[in-house]
Amino acid sequence: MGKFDWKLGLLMGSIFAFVQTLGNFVAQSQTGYLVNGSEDVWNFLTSFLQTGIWSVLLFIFLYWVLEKGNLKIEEKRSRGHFWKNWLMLLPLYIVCFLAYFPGSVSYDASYITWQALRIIGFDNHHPFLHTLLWTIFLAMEEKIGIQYLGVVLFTVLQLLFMTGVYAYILTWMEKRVIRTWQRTICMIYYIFNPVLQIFSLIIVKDVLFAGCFLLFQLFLIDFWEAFRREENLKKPAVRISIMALLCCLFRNNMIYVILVYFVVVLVLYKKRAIILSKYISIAILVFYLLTEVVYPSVGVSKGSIKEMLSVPMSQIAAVYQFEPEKITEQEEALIRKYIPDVEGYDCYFADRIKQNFNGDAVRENPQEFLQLWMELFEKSEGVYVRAFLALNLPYWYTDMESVKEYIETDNYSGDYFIERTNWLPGAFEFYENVADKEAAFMNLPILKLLFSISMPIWIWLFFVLSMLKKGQKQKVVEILPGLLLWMTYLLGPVSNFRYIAPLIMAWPIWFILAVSGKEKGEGI
Amino acid sequence: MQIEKKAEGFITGICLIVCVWIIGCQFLFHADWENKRIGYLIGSLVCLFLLCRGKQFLYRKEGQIKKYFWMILFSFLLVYGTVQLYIGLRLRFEPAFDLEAIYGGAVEWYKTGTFSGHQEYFYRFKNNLGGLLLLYLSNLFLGAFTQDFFLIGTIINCAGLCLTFLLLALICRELWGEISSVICLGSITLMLPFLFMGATFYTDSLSMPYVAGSIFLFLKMKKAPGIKKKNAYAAGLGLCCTLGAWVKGTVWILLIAVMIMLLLQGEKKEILTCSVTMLAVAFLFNLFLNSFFYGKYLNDEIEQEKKLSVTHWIMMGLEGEGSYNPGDYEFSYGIEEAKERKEANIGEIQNRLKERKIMGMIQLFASKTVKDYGEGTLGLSDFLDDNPVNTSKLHDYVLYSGKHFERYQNYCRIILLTFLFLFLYAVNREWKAGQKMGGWILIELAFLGIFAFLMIWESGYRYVSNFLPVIILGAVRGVEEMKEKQVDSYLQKLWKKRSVRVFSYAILFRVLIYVLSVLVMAIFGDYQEGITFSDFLTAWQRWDGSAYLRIAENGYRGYEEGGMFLDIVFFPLYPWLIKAVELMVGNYQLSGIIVSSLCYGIGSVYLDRLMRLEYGEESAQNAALALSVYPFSFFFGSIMTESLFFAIITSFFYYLRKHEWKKATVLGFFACMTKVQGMLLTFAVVAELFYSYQGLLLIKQKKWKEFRNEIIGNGLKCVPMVGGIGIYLLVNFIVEGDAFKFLYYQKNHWGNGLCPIWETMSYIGRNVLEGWYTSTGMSLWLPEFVLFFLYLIGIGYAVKKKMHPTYLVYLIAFFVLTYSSTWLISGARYTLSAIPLFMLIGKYFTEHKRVKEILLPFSFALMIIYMVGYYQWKQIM
Repeated sequence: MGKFDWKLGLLMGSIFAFVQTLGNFVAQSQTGYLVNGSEDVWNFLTSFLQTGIWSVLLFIFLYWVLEKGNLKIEEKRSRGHFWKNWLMLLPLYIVCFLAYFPGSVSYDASYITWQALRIIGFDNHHPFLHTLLWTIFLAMEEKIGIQYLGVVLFTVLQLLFMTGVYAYILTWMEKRVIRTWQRTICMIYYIFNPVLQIFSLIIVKDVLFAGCFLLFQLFLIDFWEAFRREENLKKPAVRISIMALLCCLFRNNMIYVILVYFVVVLVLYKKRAIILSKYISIAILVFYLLTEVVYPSVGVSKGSIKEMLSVPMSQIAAVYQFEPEKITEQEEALIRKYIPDVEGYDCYFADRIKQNFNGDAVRENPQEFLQLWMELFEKSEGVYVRAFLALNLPYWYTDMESVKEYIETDNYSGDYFIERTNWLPGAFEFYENVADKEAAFMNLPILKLLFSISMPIWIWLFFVLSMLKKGQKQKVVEILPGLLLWMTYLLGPVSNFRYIAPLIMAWPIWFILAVSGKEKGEGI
Repeated sequence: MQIEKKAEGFITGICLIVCVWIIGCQFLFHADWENKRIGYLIGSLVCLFLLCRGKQFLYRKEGQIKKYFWMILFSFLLVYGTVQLYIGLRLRFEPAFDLEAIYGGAVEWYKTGTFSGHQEYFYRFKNNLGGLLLLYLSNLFLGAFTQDFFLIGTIINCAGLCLTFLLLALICRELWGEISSVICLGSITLMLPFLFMGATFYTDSLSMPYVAGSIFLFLKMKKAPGIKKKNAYAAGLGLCCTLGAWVKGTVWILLIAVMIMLLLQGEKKEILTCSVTMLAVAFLFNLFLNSFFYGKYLNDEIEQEKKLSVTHWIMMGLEGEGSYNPGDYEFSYGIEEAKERKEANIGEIQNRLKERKIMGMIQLFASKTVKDYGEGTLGLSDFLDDNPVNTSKLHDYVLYSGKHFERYQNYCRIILLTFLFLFLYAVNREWKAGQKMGGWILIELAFLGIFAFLMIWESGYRYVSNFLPVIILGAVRGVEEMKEKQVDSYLQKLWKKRSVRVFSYAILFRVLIYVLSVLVMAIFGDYQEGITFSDFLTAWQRWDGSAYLRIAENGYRGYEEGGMFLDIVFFPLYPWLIKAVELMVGNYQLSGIIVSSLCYGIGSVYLDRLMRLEYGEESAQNAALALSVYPFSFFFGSIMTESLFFAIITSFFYYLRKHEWKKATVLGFFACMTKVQGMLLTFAVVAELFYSYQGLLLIKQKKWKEFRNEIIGNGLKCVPMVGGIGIYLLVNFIVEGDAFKFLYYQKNHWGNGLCPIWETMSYIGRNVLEGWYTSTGMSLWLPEFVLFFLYLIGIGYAVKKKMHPTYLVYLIAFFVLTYSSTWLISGARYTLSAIPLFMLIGKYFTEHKRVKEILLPFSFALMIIYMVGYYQWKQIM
């Protein structure tokens, strides 16, 4: 092991330990502040050192393993076996489906089912494209008259799509010269991982989004590799454009990822990668045309502004809870006007105050809300910082669990009631344990970390440092969307597994990219 | 020198940001620009184009211009000054408020030897003493000739403005040569408020020569050989700046800018001596003017007590949108003690800053920028509408209350915007240039200085006026720089492209028809209040047009009759395009017109290409003519799907014939989203495949592999085009919960279904026989009756001339579908989509020129008649 690797492990371990210690303080805070005196500083330092030693050792070891698997030169093999991979993937996924037969109408489904059944009008609060698909399948069921046909077909379609995406990834890996054990690990990950199996069949927008995001990630890598090899870039750029659009249509926050990525490409590469900028801008344009022109014309109303304000509303509510003495009567009146349920503040879950948040009042006078937010910030900066960190704590602090169920497999829709057939009771019990994160293997030391929703960002950073060490800056640009997507979740109302799932699924791709050798012409 | 260069780069960079900010604020935050943004942008682009063309013309005459430069310059000044004076007197008014103070004060001073009646004002507003002095001196010199003091004020103001123009022309000559001087004069001519400024002899215009003079003297100083001459110019500069600053304080900006320039570009000795000379002269002259006024006419102690400190204006600049605010005057006047007043002002400034915070300040700066740079009229009406002595057509344009003020305002805004664009362009060129231009940095500094000042100070339309010379200098450089870009040669190259020419002619033709439509409106309409733009737009929104606009504006669910969303029968692409364009132009009707016109242009281009591909250039021209003057072709300009479908199917046929399957598929997809007839294009695809690859022969010879590769393979590539109909069905499903609901409404509400062709002809024929002489008979039934036979003749002619089956199949299918309707009332309009028919007519006209010469004018006449009928709400739909 070289000297530099040791430093890399030290760096990564130190960052990890520092952030984990910080997370611990956020979780333990009773006052709304992170640090309440010199004693806390001392505690912080000792805690940081304790965590630091173990994490530095761990990361030095992991970098050593990664170094062993590194290849010096990247080449391409001629072909892969998509159909073979798909057939290998399908059996266990089908078992999972049979265990849950006829399907699982998950958390958001109650709301979109109202829309699908025309109980309420369509809106884009949950991406309309997903709602539309669900509506079509329910209409088919109604038209044909076979019970559960809609949910079964939808689940099968989703399952085929997701396994197809995994098969595509495995085929993509086959086409690269990597070590057999590396490919085998990835194959095992996709085939035997029960989390992915369950996640491929629940009816929630995040599943299709995850599939599209993986393809987007993969196509980006293909594009940049073609860019380095000075090959024709049009086809990969078109594929990226299509996937970017689909990602945006399946998750509203994805548009911000694409916008930032567009700017990054433009700034870093200017005219050299103009074709990518061009096609991404087409995706952005089409997205806005769809959401601003087409959706309103067919009666799809916009989502509420409150979805964007989870962090500010939590921060205001935190000040209300922890430092009410700093709030004037006028400010209190305003707080109640915007957040009627302010007493229900939960630092980890904004939905409790978001439910009745007065979004219309913000739309009418955004400046008033902004001013209130800024005024309270000036009075209680510390509370603001802690409220922000607490809301997204499970996304970066490994010891924190989400307040939500790990995978929401229950049926949430009262208007589309499903009775499970329980064909495979043993399998069902196993999968339910996994969905509740209670399976024994999910709670083993070290391995437990892999099931934490905080891991994606650490794994991303782990690979990025490795790439930077090898001077492969361009590869960082290739996997940048992962970080950007994670950042958008920091502004969300709650930390949840299914939000972060696309990044968990992308680990093998990042891994393969990190162990791949350096190509000719690499570098920004 | 490295630091100096970096500093210059920094100045240019900041200037670039400020330019972008100023222009961006106008487009994003100017409430008055709502719905006009695109118009202003287009207007500005036209102006840029004209300036560029003008410059090209001037460069062609370079020799003559150099030879007669002085003659041109002085002739211009003479003519312009005379016209300015004449207009100034036509716009005579009774000066009020601040203008009255300096004008009335000067008259009083001239008549009584003192301005005691206005002393109170000047104790408060010391900043206007320079204007008073200037007018008094004018009265003193010209009073012997006339006692019309308004005339004297106007003369002196016009003279000052002409001096400004002279200086600007000389600066341009110094920096960029004679041609630029002439461009500068042209720019001045374009800026109409200059022409009306003669009568408004307030400090804004009176101080203008000093701004231009300072820049001119600086250039002279830089160029002068020897330190003595440089010092002489520096002394002149100090004098010019001081005098100007007494007239309007912002001229001090030039003095500061010159000092910075000396530091950046001067030699050590030059910096030292010139700075000292300049500052010494400024100081001494300032001292002299102070002692002149306070020694004899004003009391220094009273002034100290009464004067409004600068903090007052800064405070006012922080309230609301930063403009004039009587409440703040009351606040300041309400405090007796000067010191207390100043402290109160400072306290209030702090409060306002605290209230606004960073975001609030950014918003304030945006509002101020909009106010200071967003009104091209320069707020002259603030003065001119104070009891005007005359009323004239000019007043209709230049006064806020004038009935044509909006037109004048729009023009002025476009011109100012054009100048700002040019300034931006010039700064951008400077930014990119390695070697910085000496005098240019001074112009940038002046621009930045006035911007910074206006952001701090009270804001107003006219506050940027005296720095307009700086903006004009920037604009002239912008025009000058365009030469290197070879815009003209680019345009020439562009014009050489046939597509561009066809597109331009098509748009021009549409504009012509729109102009004709205004004539029709005026003759046959009843517009007592005058025809507005809105009336014009509404006139093109008849029949189905209203439905398309409703869908664009409120969606398919926006219109309901008894629980039925009847608009669902209209296909979605056209209203979606209207909505998309509306997001930019802010008006649904205008957006519809723009979409239709542009599509007509695009359609014409592809029709031309298609015809040249099949029948040659002459036939292409004839087909375009035949289609354009077809009696119902005015629908191409209306808010209907005709032009969009025209654009789509012509381009579709073009790419289909060239076997560019992907493009043809995408276009076919759009066609299916535009009209139900889009589905007929699938027949064209089949025909093209079978004819081009000899499909029947392949079957006969059992060459299945070739059949699979060529016909099935390429055919499959085109299958996605029917997805367009899928989108329409999806819209039906989303809106109504039934993908085929439109068929129900067509049948049950509109009474429109399919029937055998003879049944359609039966009721059309009956209606013609029974009432051809009625309005409906002549507007609706007879054209459909005649067209039926025209279709038959066309099909026969196509067979005879062996027209390519792709077109023929489409034409037959189109004909059959159109004439198989249980209630055909728009057959004449639908024919606009029977493009092969017009292709045949084009070919026929090529072979029968005499017939063409008779039929084309006849058809055009019919088009005008039917257009009049359309305007009269006759049954032309």
